[in-house]
This record gives sequence, structure tokens and C-alpha cells, in this order.
Amino acid sequence: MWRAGVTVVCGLTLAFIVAPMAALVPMSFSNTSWLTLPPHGLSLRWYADFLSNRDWMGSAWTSVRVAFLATTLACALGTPAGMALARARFPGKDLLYAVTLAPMVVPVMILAISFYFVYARAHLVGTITALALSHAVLGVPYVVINVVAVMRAFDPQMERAARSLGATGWQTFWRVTVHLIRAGIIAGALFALITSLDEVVIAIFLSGRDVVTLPKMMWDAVSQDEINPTVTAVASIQMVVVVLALGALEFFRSRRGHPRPRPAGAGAGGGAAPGAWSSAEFRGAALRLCEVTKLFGSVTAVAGVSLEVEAGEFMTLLGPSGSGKTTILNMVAGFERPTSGEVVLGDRPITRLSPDKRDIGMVFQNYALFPHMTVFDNIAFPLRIRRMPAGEIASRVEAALAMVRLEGYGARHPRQLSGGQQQRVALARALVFHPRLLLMDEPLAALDKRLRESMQIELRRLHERLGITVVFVTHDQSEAMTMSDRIAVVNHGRIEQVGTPAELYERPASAFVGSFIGESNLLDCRVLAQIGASATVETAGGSTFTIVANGARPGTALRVSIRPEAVGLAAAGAAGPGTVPAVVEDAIYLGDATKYVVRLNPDEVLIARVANRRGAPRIDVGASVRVAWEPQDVQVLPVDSAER
Amino acid sequence: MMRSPVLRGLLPTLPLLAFLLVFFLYPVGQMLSFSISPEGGGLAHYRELLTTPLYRRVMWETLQISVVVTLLCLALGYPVAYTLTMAPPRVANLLLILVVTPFWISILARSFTWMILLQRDGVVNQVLLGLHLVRAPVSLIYNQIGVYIGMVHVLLPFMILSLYGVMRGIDTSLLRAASNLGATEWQAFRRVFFPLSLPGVAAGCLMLFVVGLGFFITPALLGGGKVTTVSMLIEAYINQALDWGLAAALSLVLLVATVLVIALYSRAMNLDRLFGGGT
Repeated sequence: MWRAGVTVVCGLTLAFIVAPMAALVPMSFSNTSWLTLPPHGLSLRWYADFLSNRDWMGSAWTSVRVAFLATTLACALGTPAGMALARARFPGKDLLYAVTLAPMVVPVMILAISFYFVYARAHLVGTITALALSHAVLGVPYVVINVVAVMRAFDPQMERAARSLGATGWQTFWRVTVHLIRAGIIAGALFALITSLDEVVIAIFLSGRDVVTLPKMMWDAVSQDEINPTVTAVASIQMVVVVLALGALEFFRSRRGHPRPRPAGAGAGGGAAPGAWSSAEFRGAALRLCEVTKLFGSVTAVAGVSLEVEAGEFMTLLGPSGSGKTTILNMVAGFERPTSGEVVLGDRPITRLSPDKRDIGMVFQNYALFPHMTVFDNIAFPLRIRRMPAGEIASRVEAALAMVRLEGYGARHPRQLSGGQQQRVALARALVFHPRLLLMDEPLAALDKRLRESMQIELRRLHERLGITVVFVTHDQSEAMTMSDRIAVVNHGRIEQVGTPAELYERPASAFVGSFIGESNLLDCRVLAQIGASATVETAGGSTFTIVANGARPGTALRVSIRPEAVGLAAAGAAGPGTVPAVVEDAIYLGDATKYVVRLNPDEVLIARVANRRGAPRIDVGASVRVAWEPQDVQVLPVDSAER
Repeated sequence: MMRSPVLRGLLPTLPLLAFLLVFFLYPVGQMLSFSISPEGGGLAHYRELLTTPLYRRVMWETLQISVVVTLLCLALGYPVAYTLTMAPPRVANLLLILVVTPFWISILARSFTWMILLQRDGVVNQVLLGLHLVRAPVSLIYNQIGVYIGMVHVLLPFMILSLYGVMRGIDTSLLRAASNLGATEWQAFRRVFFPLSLPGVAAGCLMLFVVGLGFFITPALLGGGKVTTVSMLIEAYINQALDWGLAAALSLVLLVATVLVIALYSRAMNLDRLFGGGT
């Protein structure tokens, strides 16, 4: 019921909105000077009146000139200011933004008489200059608002991507930034233009006798002899011009938005892929970080990190979000400058080098493909920046597309590709200029699980084939295990441990590493007695067992870690060294194994992961059992390692 | 080699800042300070503004027109914005084009057309007579009704765009969640959609109220001398009475009222939203 009411009100309101425009056009063809609707008889006399009248045509020309000057001025001043207001941080920014927008809210009558007050003394009333300056004041807020809006929507990764591909700051601005914010500048300019063309109040005061704008002319006509039919002709022409302009804009925008896609895979059929890449073209360089520290204000993002990545190695920085791994990557790429410490690539320190001089490829988390370029142009970007001849660019891009199995996709735009395809384009773009190091910032995070797993294998094969050095950032431990030669576990801005996947899993150096890579049972305990190479310990909850430990003095506090799969369950009767009585609290069937939660004592529980073998008995919840493990499966950790 | 980041950030804004200082803040400041300068008459004008009933009447009328027009726009615009939000994208785009058609022609031409449509033997009166809704032609123009019609027509698209901007951001799955939890369509609207649309209502109302306070063209043309707004009074003092001091004093009052409303609002809301932020 109420919905019907809403629809009726909506319809009537829309009719009300459209009514004057719908009435204006037929009235402009009236052949009487007494306007009615529908008109008595049709004629073009009011159009002829407008087009043949010197005053009307002169005022139209004046309006165009004023609007053009005012718009140009507003854009020239507003665009850089809008970009700075959206990006940079400086004191008084909010105040400056408020001042910029103020002309929108100050009543236009106040502006008009203020301009009149000042320009009259300067004898500028009745000049194009005065009108254009005043209209520019009105237009500036529109330009700034629109530029700020596109700048905020615009991903700064795009600029970083351009820098990492070798573009200087200036090249980045002209080839990327300007294209991506063009829509905002055009929209702002259009608003400023329309505002100036439609402005009456200021024109009433500043027109004087000589510089009469079209709206001022219409105002005189309407306010002096109430009904002047020429006004309807002028307004109708205005309307047609505006509609045509908007239509043309929309037409070009839609054409640019949907370039005819080439049939997929065209050109890929038959024949060998043009010159597939080989390791001969890549010379991976070693990377060394020495005591690198990064402070953001008083926050320590990275605290004295040292790391050596060998040439051709696949190194993963693994850590939870906010651990500082992306900051480390950004310092290697050159987007952040270390507060202290040194970054060395090959044998050359690059700490203070700008990103475009580093020759480091980077794949960004959201790919940062330039939306205003085709796939081909995206991949060719670093080559064009390096002023390579067109023929070589074409063959290199083809080879890069072949490498990521996207032959024939060169003419498409990034938005016409799936996530996985975009990912591969980003990879081709980062490798096409044969960088000495490839950085990847969570590049697979946006893909679904199956695609992610197949990309992991593809990336690893590619790395093996090309022999390039890779630094890969992820928070996914299984991804890190799958792909890496070595893993650096990052936590709280520090590297906790560096090692192969097996080393990290089997011998975690800290409780954090133990629990971040796989599952771990952590127990706090105290040494009771040392016998040969083993020691008997008692947990805080009172359970005792044996560990491998040399020279542990009785009374020493220890923290131990035991992997769930190292914990075995036996029937309650079986006693022996290293067995602890416990009660099964929960059993979770996982297919290949069953996970048991067992309670040792009121304070301590363990997780045991028992492989499911055919015919093996299931243990019921509530059953009394003994848990057992081999002493060498117990990893002793430093006590304070979990406290950070 | 590298300048300080503050300077690098500030530098691109300096030309605009200089421009606004010279061609915006300076003229407005000059004009306003004239109202209290000795040659402009000192504080005498403000005494006059406070004591003469005419000024109080005009200010009151300006305020009243702005409030009524804002509320009318809200009442008419909310259903339109709601329909736009709920319509399939194609229909919504079509309706949106209708909403912005007034931007295609100048505010003068619109007022002018209303003058013709609303006159004694104009189309509107003929329809009203034809439907036997009225016995004799009604005065729809050169009075307050005419000003309301004209101003609502000018400001309505801004209200609709402001409401639509916020409504479009409301997650429609919230309404499905509400109906899944047992709410009727009306209850879902009343308890979920409407509260979430309030930021748009607030932003739209503020914008319209502020802009409405400064209106000049529409009331001057459609009011037929029976309606006077502060802006019209200012214009009259300058072009007819040549009394700059009084005009400047009136301007200051109008400006202070405008800034006060915006300041009150910005305490409660993010100002970005007022200016449409994203579009």
C-alpha cells in the first residue's frame, strides 16, 4: 500500500521537475508574443530574433569568453591544490580546504557586492577580467572537490608500481596520475563552466554597460518587460547545446569503456610461443639488509632487521598483519626510506636510491595494473620508460605474455580479465625488464583457494626456471611452506627466525614460531633432575616427564613445545617413562587423523593428533588415557620468548 | 636536494591560496569591514537593523521561506530518492536523468517558464479550472506560493542527489535480513532503512537551508514585490538607495547566520558529506 503511495508521489514530483523544460521548448516556437501552452500557431521568429540581434549574439560571445577564462583559471589553480589536499599532510590543511570550499556557501549576493565594492574602486567594473576572476572564485570549489574525490579513489599503489617499473616521479605523474584523475578534472571543469555560463547575480553588478553576459541580458529582458519570448528561444538553444555536450561526453566515455575485445586466444593457435624466457636472461642478485630500522613517528615498524637473501633464492617474509613485513618490502623497493641501516643489492648499497633506479620488479597485492592502458601497454610500460626500440618491446612483451600463458590478450584492458589473469599480467609486467630481484606483496591473497594453490605451483616453477631472486611476503604459513627456499618469520618488527621450512617446523626457536607455523603444545615446566643427556621436568600443573637436555640444573624454569602429531595416546594401564595420565575431553574427526583434546591436570591441556588407520580403535570422550612422546620430540624454548 | 615534506605538500596549494586571498577573502573582508568603518556609518547600521521592524520582518521572512522550502523538498524528494534506490539500475539511471534535467537550462529560464505556466490564464490554472478543483483562477504567482514553487523546483534536485547518495550506500541485504527476522516491508523501512538514510536527510536539509537563505533570482522574479529576502534588500540598498553601509551590515548578518548553521552542523557531521564528497 505505502509503496504505491511512494510511487505516485515520486511520479508527480518528477513531472513537476520536468514540467518547465517540457513547456519551454514548444513555447519557443510560438508565433505570438503572448506566450501560451500549447502555442497559438508555430513559427521560428524568436529564434530569428535571437540570431539576428547584435546585442543577444554579443552577449552570448561575452559569456563564452568569460566562462572559458574562468574555467581555465579555476582548473589551473584547483587541480594542483586538490591533489595536494587529497595526498599531502601539512598543518592547516583542513583550514585551507574550508577556505577553498567557502565560495560555495557564502551567499552569492554577498560575493557580488564585495566584488563590486572592490572592482569599482579599481575601475574594473565592465571588464571581462573582473567577471572571469569572480567566476573563477565560484568555479574553484567544484574543481577542487572533484579532484580530491578522484585522488581519494585513486590507488597510490599505481604510482608506486610505475616507480618500481623505472618511471621517474615526473614520468609517473604524466603517464599515470594525470590519466587516472582526468575524469575528475573534466567533471570539475564542466561544473565550473556551467556555473559561469549560468551566473546572473555577479553579472548584474559587474557587467557595467559594455560587458553584458547572456544571463545578464536575459535578466534585463525578464525583469523589465515581463514576457520576452526571445528568452524561450535562447533557453531552448542552451538546453540543446547542453544535452548534445552531455550526450557526446557519454558516447565517448562508453566507447572508451568497452573497446572491442579480440577473440580470446587469437594468435595463440599453432606454432611455438615466441622466444620463451630462459634463466640466461635473468641474473638474480643477492640482497642484504643490515640492521634496518623504520620508525613512523614514535612507532617502531621495523626494529633492527638483518637478513641475507642469496642470489636466486626464494625467500618468504612470513608474519601476521602489522608485523612489519610489508614495511621491510617497501624499504627494499624504495617506497620507504629506513630510519637507519643499510640495504644492499648485489654489491651496491641502494638505501638512498629512488625506486625507479633500483631495477627491482614488484607484484602488488591488488596488482596495480594501470586501468587506462591495455595489457600490452601495461607490460610495455617499463620497456618504454627505458626507451627500448618498438620492435624489441613487441617481441619482449609477446614473450612475457607467453610465459604467463596469456597469448592474444594484449589488446584487452585489465578490467576485462579475471583476477587470476590480472595477477599473471602483473607478474609479466614485473619481470619483462629482467629485474635483478622480484618482490611480491601478498600477490595471491585475492584469489580463491584452488586458483591460489595452482598459482603457488606455477610461481615456484617459474622461479626455478628463471633463477631470479624472489622476496615474497605472506601471512599464510602453508603458502610460505609450499613455495620458499627459506622463510623469515617476522613478528613485532623483528625477525624471529630464518630457516628452511623443515628447520622452522622441527626446531622452532621461539613459542611464536612454534605456534605460527603449524600447531604447538606449549608447557611451562621446571627441571627436577638431570640424568645423563636427559632431564626430568615437572609442569606447572604437576605432571612429570622426560626431555633431552644437557646441563639443565635442577630448579631451572623451561618452556617446551611438543607438536600434536608427536603426542601418542595409550590405554590407561600402560605405564612407562615419559607417559603422563590424562582424560580425553574432545575428539575431532578430520579424515586422515583425529584430533584429541586431553587434559593432564586442572590447569593444562594438550592437543594430540593421531593418524586414522584402518581398524584402529576410536577413543571415547571421557576415557582415561596415558599420553606419551619421545623425549627428542620435545623442543626446549627460551622462557621469555612468548612474553613479547 | 629534497625539500621538507611539509613544504612539498604545501607548495601546489600556494597559487590557489594566493588567488583566494586576493580575489575572494580580500573583497569580502573589505566590504564587510566597511559596515563598521566610520565612513560606512559605524555601528549605527546595526542599531538600525535591530530596531526597525522592516529588517526583522525581512529576516524572518527569509528564514521562514528557507525552512518551508527545505521541508517541502524533503517531503517530495525522499520518495523520489527512495524509488531511485530501489529501482533496477536501468530504470534508476533513466529517472536520474529526469531529476537533473533542470541543470540543463539556466535558473532564469526556469523562473521565466514558471511565470508563464503559473499566470492567471496559464496552463496550471486552466487545468485546475477544467478539473473543477477551483471556481476562479488562483493567484499562483507574484506571491509567496510562486516563490515556494520556484525555489522548490530549483533546490529539489540537490535534495534528491544528497539523499540518493546516502541511500545508495545502504546495504540492501540489511533489508533482507530485517524481513528474514520477521519485519514487514514497512517495518524494515521504518526501523532499518530510514534511520540509515538520516545522514543524507541531515546533509540535504542543511545544504538547502543554507543556500535558500541567500536566494535572490527566484524570489525577485516570482515574488512580484510581495516577497522580500535579505539578498533582495541588499541589492536594493546598493542599486537603488546607494546605501553601502546598510547593505554591508545586512551582508554581515546573513553571512554570520550562514556560517553559524554550518558550524553547528559540522560539530555533528563530517563536512565532506555536505559537499557530496565522492561525486
